[in-house]
Order: sequence, then C-alpha cells, then structure tokens
Amino acid sequence: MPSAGAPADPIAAEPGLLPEAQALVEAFCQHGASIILGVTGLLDRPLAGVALGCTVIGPERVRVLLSRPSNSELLLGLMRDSRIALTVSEVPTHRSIQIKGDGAVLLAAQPEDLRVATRQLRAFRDQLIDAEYGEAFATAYCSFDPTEAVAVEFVPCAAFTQTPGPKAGERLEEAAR
Amino acid sequence: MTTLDQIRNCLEGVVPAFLATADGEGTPNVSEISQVHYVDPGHVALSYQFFNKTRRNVLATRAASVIVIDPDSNAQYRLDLDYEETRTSGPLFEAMRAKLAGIASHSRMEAVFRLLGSDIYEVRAIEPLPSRRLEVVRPCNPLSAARRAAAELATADEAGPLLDRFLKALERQMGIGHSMVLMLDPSAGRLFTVASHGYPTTGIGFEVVLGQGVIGVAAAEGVPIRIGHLAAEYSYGEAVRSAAGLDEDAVPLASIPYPGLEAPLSQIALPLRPMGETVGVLFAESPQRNRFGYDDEDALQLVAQSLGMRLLLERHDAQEAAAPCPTEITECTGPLRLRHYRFDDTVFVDGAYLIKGVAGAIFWKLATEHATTGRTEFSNRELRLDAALKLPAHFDNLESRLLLLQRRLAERGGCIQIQRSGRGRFRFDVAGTLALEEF
Repeated sequence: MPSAGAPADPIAAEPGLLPEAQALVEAFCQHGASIILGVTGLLDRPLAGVALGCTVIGPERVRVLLSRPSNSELLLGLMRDSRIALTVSEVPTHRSIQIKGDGAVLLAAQPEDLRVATRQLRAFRDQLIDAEYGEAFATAYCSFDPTEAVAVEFVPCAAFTQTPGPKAGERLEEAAR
Repeated sequence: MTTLDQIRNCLEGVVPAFLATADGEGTPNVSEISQVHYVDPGHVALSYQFFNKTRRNVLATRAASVIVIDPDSNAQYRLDLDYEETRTSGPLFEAMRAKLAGIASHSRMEAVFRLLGSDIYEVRAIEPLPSRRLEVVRPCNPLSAARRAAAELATADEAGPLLDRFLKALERQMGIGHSMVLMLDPSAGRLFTVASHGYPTTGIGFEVVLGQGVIGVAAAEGVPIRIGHLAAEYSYGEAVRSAAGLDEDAVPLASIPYPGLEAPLSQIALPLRPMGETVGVLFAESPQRNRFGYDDEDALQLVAQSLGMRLLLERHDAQEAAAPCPTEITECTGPLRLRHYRFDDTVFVDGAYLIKGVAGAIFWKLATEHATTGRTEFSNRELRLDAALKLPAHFDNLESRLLLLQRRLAERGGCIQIQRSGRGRFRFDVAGTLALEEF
C-alpha cells in the first residue's frame, strides 16, 4: 500500500535492509526484545504502538504481529499513510535498532506468526524477569490473545542505530555503503 | 475519562515508555524513553537527553504520542501530547535529574543518561489500552497514614522529644523505618541533622552541603526530591569518602559521619517550607527499590508542611515552655578540657569532637561565661543580640542551632548539658570545672 499524498522520502531511495541490520534485528528478536512502532494517525499526529513479534522475511520485507485492540487507531492510520517506524531493543544491553519502512499492508495472522510471537514473547519474558521486573508483571506484559492478532508487512528503507549514546540515530547504511 | 492523576504509577520510570514522533513530512520515528514525569493534572515532562531525531521532530511538529505502563498492574495508556517548552534548571529539572540518575543506576547506564532538559507537554488525551491487568494491593493508604503521623505534632513537647516521637510515628503509621530531620543553616549553606530514627548511631550534627544529594537538592530547590535506585552521585557514603580522599569507611576527624543506610536503594527528601521559606528537610530512605511513589511523596510533603509550621512556632517562642525534661548529668572527676578553634568555631571536649560553626560559637560563649562568672541561666534574646556570634539578621535559625547543641550534649551524656528553663530561656548545666583553651 503506497503512501497517500506523502512526499518522496530520501530514505526510501534505496529500499532494503543491509545484512548487518537484518542479522541484528533477527538476533534481538530471537533472544527476546522490546518491539515498538510508530505511525502517523488519521489526524496527522504520531501514534506509538507495541508489537508482539517480528520476522525479517528478507532484505525487502519485514513482518510484525500486533494486537488489534491495542493498535486499532494505529492500523487505521497505516491504511492512509503506510510509512512505519519499528524499533527493536535488547533488554539487558539496551542495544536498539530502528527500521524505517514504507508500503505497510495489513494481513491476517498466520499460524506461523503465532508460533513466532509465542517464542519471541517467551524469550522476552525471561529477559524482563532477569532485569528484575518480576515474574507476574513479565508474564502479564508478554501475554497475548491469538484471536486478536493481526500482521503488518512493510518494505524496509533504512536502519538506524538507536542504542542510547553518541551514536544514536546513526544510519547503518552510511557506514557500509 | 482517564485522568493523569489516576495513572501516576505509570510515570515512575520503572518500565520505559515508548515515544513516537514524526518529522515535517510525516515520516514516523519511535524510540524508548527513560522518563515521563508527572508535572500537574494536565502536563507531563519528558527527559531530553540527546539531540536526536526525536528531538528534531518534537521541535518541528510539537506533537508526540507516548505509551506508558504501570509496573505493578500492567495497565497501559497512550498519551497524545503537545510540546510546550523545555526547562534546563529549577525545581522540575532537578527532581527529574535525580530520578533519572536512579533510572540510569538501575539500568547500568550511568555514563550515558544525562538530563539536558525537561520537555514539558500538555496532555491532550489519554487512551487506555487493553492489557492483562494484575491486581494490586496497596499496603496502606498514604494520606490516611500521613494524617495520623501529623497528629503527633500536636503535642506540647519540646522540639527534641517532639521530633523523636514524630519520626517514630512515621515508622508506625507509614512503615518508614529510616528517617532524619535536618535544619538549614543558610549562612553556611549547610543542613545539620537534629533528629534521626532507625540507625545504629543518631548522626546528630551530620552535615549536608546545600545542593549535595537528595537532601541538599531538596533544600536548594524547595521541592521534594526522590530517587528509586540510588546513584553514586547522590550517595552520601560516596560523597563523604570522596571528600575525605578515603576509600575506606574513615571520615574526617571534626565531623559527624553519615548515620544512614550503607546501601539504600530509595531515598526521598521533603523540604520544610513554612511560609514559603526553606528551613530544613525531612529525609527518609529504604533498602527497597522504588519504595517511594508519587502518593508517598504527596503524603510526606503534607506531613513535612505540618512539621515545618510546628518548628516555626518553636522558633518564634509562640508557646509557653513545656515542662522541662531533666537530662541526666554526670559528675566530672576532674576539670573538663574544652578546646576551641576560632577559624571555624570547632569545639572539642576532652579531645573528642563536639560541634562546630555557629552552634560551636554559641557553646563557646556559654562555656566562657560560665567559667568566668559561674552563670547558668541564659536567654535566646541575648544570644541574638551578641554580634560576636554573627547570627544573620534575618532568619537566624537560633532555636535549631540550640536544639543541635542540646542534642549533641545529651547524646554524649557528659558533664555539660543544656536544658530549656522557660519561654526563650535555657540553662547551661556543668557538673564540674571547665578548663578552656583557645586556638
């Protein structure tokens, strides 16, 4: 789904994730990570959201699983403006990477999505417990209702280091290309 | 409709918040943020730590969306925000700076997290998000407990016993096991401890420099300061060792060591501000992480306000003297050797440090008069009129200094004691002879 009326974005000039960014996102998600997203809502204001899981299908496709009730406004916004920001953060190290993408489409969650989300959330729950958030909170935070899950796929355009510190915001492509 | 006051527990910084912004072209950006701070029922402040894409977006569009999470119940909310202004100093900034230091300490990011500014946002809307909620049982109602603790201040006790009763009541009513009251010496830029509860030693006379740690910052800024995971830069244990150039637990000779917990995790300092002027600080700490929340802060600030007013009454001698509580006085076997150092009015009794500063000067005046004339009765007024004591004309805090001196002497249990003898009067009791040396 193309962005409606959105001006050409320079970061969209070279779509696709570098292997380095892809490997980092996959590793973070596999070990348990916080996955959050940002879109522009119907009122042209930003909206923050939380994802249940994330899969990098390939350098030109990222798939995230969301809870529909928590993200209903956000999904409506994506229908109009398909640009999306996704940040994946490792709990113990705070290492983070942000992917900016476009062409987001809403899809039905598949059994494999649910398996991925279950696995990633279990790992994330363990990370939260290790970080002293408490088992009850970690379990509640990482729970989800499979019947409410929905998938969003988008084309990644650029990736940025988001780890707090002097290099935060540095575009990964710049170093490699 | 959900209000900001209902969701303050989400704003403790225990769970990171998620912040989405967009640039002028509508390209979204999302990142975790350490701190969303409650300002008032209509505003929050976000920590500005780095000049990054988020910052540029906020300055360009002034719009933000943030998800906050209750660390106890897992309740989640999305806040729609409009940026208003950034503050880089003052009470709000200092309260956030202390809290951020705690968050950084807990997440081992001390070297990275530094507050550059407090970005204030108007809260346009709060959207509750579906989540699996946990039942939360609060151990006590802080407001009700504060009311009972403050009732202790209605007694006619002298300041010393009153403060002891009050701090015990904080433990009984609010479960606060470690606490202190410090009074401000504005001319010296220091606070000195006049009462404590829950420590192996009383620490009466322990001093904090204005602006140092949560106590010093609370006094300097006139706002409550609290920290949920103590950071090195706010630790008094660290500060004492660092100032002394020591890496062991030794402390300088002419001072009272910090009596507080060796490894506190939570600390809170509430300024005592009767009539809008800071006169001291009520301080509490706990080995438990994130022990003091917004509700505890509010409740304790109400109690601190009552305490401040009660001490103000004491200062103005607005009540008749209570029946004096006689202090045990030990008969000396030989002459008491008192040594006074003029440059900072430090006083040693038989080689042991007693006191310094203005309280030291007062003691020396009383001891000199007693040694010369045998006099024992003194009045607050004559001390106020004695130019040699260099009391400031405005807000001399004399009663607090006398309280400190009285308590230091009582704590030592020696042959010299000070006892209140009537309204604005006190007795300087010496059971023996004094040998005075001045340097």
